[in-house]
Amino acid sequence: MTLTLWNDPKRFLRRRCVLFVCFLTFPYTVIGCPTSNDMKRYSFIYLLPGILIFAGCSEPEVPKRQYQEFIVDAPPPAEHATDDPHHHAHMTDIPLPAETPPPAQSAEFEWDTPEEWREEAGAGMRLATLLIDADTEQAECTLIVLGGDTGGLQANIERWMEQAGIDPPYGDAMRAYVDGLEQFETAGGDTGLLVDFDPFVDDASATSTLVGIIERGEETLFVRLTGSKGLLASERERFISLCKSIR
Amino acid sequence: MYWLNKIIGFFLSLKLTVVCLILLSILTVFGTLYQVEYGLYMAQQRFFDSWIILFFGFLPFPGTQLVLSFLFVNLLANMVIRFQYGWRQSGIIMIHMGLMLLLAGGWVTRQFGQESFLSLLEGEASNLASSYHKWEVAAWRESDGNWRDVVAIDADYAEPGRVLPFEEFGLKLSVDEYHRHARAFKATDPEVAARVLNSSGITFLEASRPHWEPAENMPGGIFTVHTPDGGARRLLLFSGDPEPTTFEHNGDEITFSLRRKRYPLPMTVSLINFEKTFHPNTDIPRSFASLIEVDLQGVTRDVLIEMNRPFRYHGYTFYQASYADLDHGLHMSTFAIVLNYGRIIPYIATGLTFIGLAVHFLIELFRRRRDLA
Repeated sequence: MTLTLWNDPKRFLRRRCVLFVCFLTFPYTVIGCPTSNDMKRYSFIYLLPGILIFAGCSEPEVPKRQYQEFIVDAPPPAEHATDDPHHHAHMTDIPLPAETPPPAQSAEFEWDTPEEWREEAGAGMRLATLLIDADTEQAECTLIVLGGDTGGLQANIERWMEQAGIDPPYGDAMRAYVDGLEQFETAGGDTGLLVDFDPFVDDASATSTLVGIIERGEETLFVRLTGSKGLLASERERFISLCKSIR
Repeated sequence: MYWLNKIIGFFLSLKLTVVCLILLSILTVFGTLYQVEYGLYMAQQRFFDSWIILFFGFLPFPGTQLVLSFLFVNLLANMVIRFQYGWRQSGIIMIHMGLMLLLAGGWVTRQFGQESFLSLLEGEASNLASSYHKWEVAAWRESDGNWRDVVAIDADYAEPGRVLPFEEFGLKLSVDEYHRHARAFKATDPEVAARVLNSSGITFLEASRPHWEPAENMPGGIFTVHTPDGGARRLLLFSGDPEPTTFEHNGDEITFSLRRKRYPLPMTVSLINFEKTFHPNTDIPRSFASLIEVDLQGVTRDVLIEMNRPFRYHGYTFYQASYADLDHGLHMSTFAIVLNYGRIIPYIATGLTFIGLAVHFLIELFRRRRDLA
């Protein structure tokens, strides 16, 4: 007759005492909490192989890799031969992880960060990121400077609308919207345009965008605030004061 | 001998096959539900790339790797010990060989496969692909030519207290702090800014909760550069730095960068032109195509990579993944690069299984017709 736990438990356990001990101690060593003196003695047996193995280990050497890197930058476009050849788009426009953005242009823009807005360092064309922490939501305001032709006002508005999930108006409706954009004067004497998507968004929790466009010479500063319609409505005045403080 | 028979019997058991299949079903269901909240990468790591899962932090459950290993051994044991080899069983044998080949192919892909991407501007060339999730601390000396020698250490080794040796440049970097996802800040006080060397003027980092999608993480670290003469200088490397940081010592300039891990390619790829076509009267892209020049050790050729027409070379497959429209009419094309030596195995395995099914069907058909006759 085959020896099993049921027909002769004492003999079965005597023959399998080592396995039995490991079975008993395993949950306790996993949880790390021996609860009795007996368990502590058996835990030592179970941990001994592990202790011996780890005692023989030393900190591994840090492996290094060596390789050659080929460096050929993209040539500048013919009509802008003096520009930095590594211009990239807005970081938010790039759908997949891209190479790091190019060095910042020689923009000298200053501004007054509104109260309760938190400023973070920028990188490349992004001069700064301002964060608004409301109770249950957050909005982000980016300051990005671009040189030369920035793609066209209407094209940029349509792209921002698509990014916010808004169907852009077409034809006369879009022209009327662009012609009716509010203008403002900055502290630096520049004229800016205010783009507000609030009329196109119905739900207070839906995403909306406020953009201030300030042109100075050959550079254009885009101040773009993205967040829910409700939050943007409450921060609209601070946003406008930020844009007007540009100098 | 008794124990050996027991073990062999265990691996021969049909019950083991059924249990493994049930466990795979459970893992698939939980992994799919987990992915909804935590993303594909985390679900893969926890359920499909692991050997043991700890539910609720302490309850062990076999992971997919363990289950598939047992399933493979179960199939192998049956094929070696239990199967009868004859013409009548040829279909069954082929089916099982196909299944084993499929499992083996999965193992080869997991062990030796590599996924990366390459983004190029029109006119730009590169011989390196970038990892989606892994980062490296790289150092080099600038050179006048088109090639530079880079020494890189995986950022996985950047633990506080560890020393990263760059003996090639006579320098050592000790890790003061490292964050897998960080926010960078600049100090307005120039004296504070001068204490830390960084190309963007960043002076300190704040750890952020890692994003559930690892490709979104922006790591950063503060290191101390130790020079042979006993000098030390604090160096801050942030993954969002637009330019690498140059460290100068006794007239020698060494450039450091914390960047996505680079994988050398067996070729140099340059993007000649990128084109996209739209559906008529819409802004919806219809297709993308990139014309690239591939330099294979001095031999160049033009290759067109389109959607659904990847470029393959020696285990590498270049897919047209994405693009970006940039200022001044420039385009950037992004290729997804997969290195998979076992990419042909699933096709062979599926073909073998199909043939096995067909053979088994025909054998059974003729046998029954003969019996009826």
